Amino acid sequence: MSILGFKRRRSRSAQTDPVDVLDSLDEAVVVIDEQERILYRNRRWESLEQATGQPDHALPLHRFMHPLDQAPWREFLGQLNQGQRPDPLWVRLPVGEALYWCELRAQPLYKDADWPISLSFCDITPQVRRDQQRDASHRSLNQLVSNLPVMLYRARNNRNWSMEYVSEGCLSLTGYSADALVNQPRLSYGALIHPEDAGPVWEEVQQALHDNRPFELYYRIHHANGAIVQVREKGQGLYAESGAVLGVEGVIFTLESI
Amino acid sequence: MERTALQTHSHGWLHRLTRASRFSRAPATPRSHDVPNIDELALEIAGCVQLDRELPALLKPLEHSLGCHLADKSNLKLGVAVSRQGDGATLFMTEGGPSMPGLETFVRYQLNGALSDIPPMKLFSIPLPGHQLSCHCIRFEMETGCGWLLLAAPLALPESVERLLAPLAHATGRGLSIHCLHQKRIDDAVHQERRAHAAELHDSLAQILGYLRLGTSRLDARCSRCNQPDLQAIATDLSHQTRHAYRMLRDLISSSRLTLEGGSLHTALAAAVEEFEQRSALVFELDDRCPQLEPEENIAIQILMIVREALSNVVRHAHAQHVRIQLMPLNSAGLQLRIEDDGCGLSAERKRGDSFGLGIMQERAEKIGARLEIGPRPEGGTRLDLRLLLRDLRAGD
Repeated sequence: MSILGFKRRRSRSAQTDPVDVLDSLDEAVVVIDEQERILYRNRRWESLEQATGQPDHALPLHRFMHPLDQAPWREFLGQLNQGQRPDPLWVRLPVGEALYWCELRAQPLYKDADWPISLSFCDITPQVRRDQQRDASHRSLNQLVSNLPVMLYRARNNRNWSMEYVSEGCLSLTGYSADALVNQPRLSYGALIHPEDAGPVWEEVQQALHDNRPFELYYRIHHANGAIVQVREKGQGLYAESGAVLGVEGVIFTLESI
Repeated sequence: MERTALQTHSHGWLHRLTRASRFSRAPATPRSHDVPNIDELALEIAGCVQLDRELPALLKPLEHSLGCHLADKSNLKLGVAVSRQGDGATLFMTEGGPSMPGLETFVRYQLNGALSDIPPMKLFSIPLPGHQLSCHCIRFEMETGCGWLLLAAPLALPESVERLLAPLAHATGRGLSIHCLHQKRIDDAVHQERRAHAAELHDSLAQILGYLRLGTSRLDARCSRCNQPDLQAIATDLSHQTRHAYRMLRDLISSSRLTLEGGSLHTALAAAVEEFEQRSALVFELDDRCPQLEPEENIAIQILMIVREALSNVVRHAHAQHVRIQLMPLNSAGLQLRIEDDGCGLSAERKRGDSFGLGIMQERAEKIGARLEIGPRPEGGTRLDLRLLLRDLRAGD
């Protein structure tokens, strides 16, 4: 662009109508009164209105929102009515068969009056989809680990085998809930190991850590119900880059029925 | 004699009793036209078998009587809304008469908002937008929830009408209380019976069929090694039919055990989706756009079974990442359920009938008079559409 052209454009933009600016936004902007009547709509909102198949300009704003978002929206309005500035609200806008997630922010249009208010709808659908995907895989992994008939663990490398994490399978294997074993000073997994086996278990693990190889152990533990249970454990060390042992992790299970 | 008949046929006794009482009172001195006959209202409402059809008809003469107090009778509409514990309100308005566009939507909105917690048995009025009318309303409490008596009428009501509304609301509340309790007793008895059947089936037939399924499948495998085509055909058919029978029985057992969680299709749907969420890494998106539309319980259970079958197919076969369960009002005259996933789509092999699930879903849809279509989703994956007409629903939007 020539310098002259650039200057011309700048001088034009200095006189730009704010309405043009609002229309250029990717966010939908509306202004509503206390009855939720839309007093102003920018171009983005207009195109949304047309896509919803409800091009009736007299419709109150809540008619564009998902039926299940009506209650939070009314609460949001209630806060605005009391002169508060509510936190942004996530609402769904059904557009045809599609569904858009929007973050809704509101503020009074004028400093000296609570109404009318201006609202901006920012499309956060991609972000919500990503979050849903992440939550689903986390949920799935969590369920998988919780339901396995084994006890997965991550422990510190000390004679008590203080647990940082144990899976739900702990309950059926030891009779103690996972919470009872994790970072509890009064009960440790080490205390459950049969006294005759505790020494060999410690030594075998230390030897494996020293050799930098996985370990496999057979030993006895005391179940909470008083029984002695024969268990099998496969695990390995957790090492820092320097080679220092940070802890051990593995899986413990029994072949007996408890 | 009549006493014995009432005792032996407990179902519908209330209905017959009200009909008898109506009949016996018919020759009594007619009341003045301007006082609605509200003494019998509670009994008549209590005796309703299908509230959605009978209640508007019961309200109609009352509406007419109230109209006699007004200069302009043409601007009047009477209705009742009922909300059973925690559910959204179901609205019953009189039919015919003046058309008041937007009235029902406005009332529904207000019932969830401003009118939801007004003090009971006090008259409130809200102006109706776009009309020179008000919605006059009295909330009444019932043992199983609460209700509202609604009157769309001119802004200022004559005192004679205002005086009538409180006893009307009181009688409606009493009648609905009895009706709901009676309905609940019937529902509980039906569920108990179903569960007992399911337990019996599970302990007897299912065990034998399960054994037969393994046996015929083994027979089929053996025959395939014998080079005897006739025998092989019979064994394959036997194995196929036994698997089908076993599958149908399992389905029957699970549908007998199934109850609508939360008492509504919408809460039960959310619960089913949550249950499937716990068992897979799929993203389940529930998009329920018509929480006000509530099919009858039997229909809702069939829809729920179709949803469960479809979701279990998606989890087991579709290799999908995302599944959407959408409930939409259908041209304001019905309900559309759409379940679509972004998986690998239906293979020709599964369509050919190897999967009994698709056939069972189709049968369930036919049972409730709905149309079921299963096919490819345009962007890839599978789409299931179930369309149900409004006549099967309890309330319209």
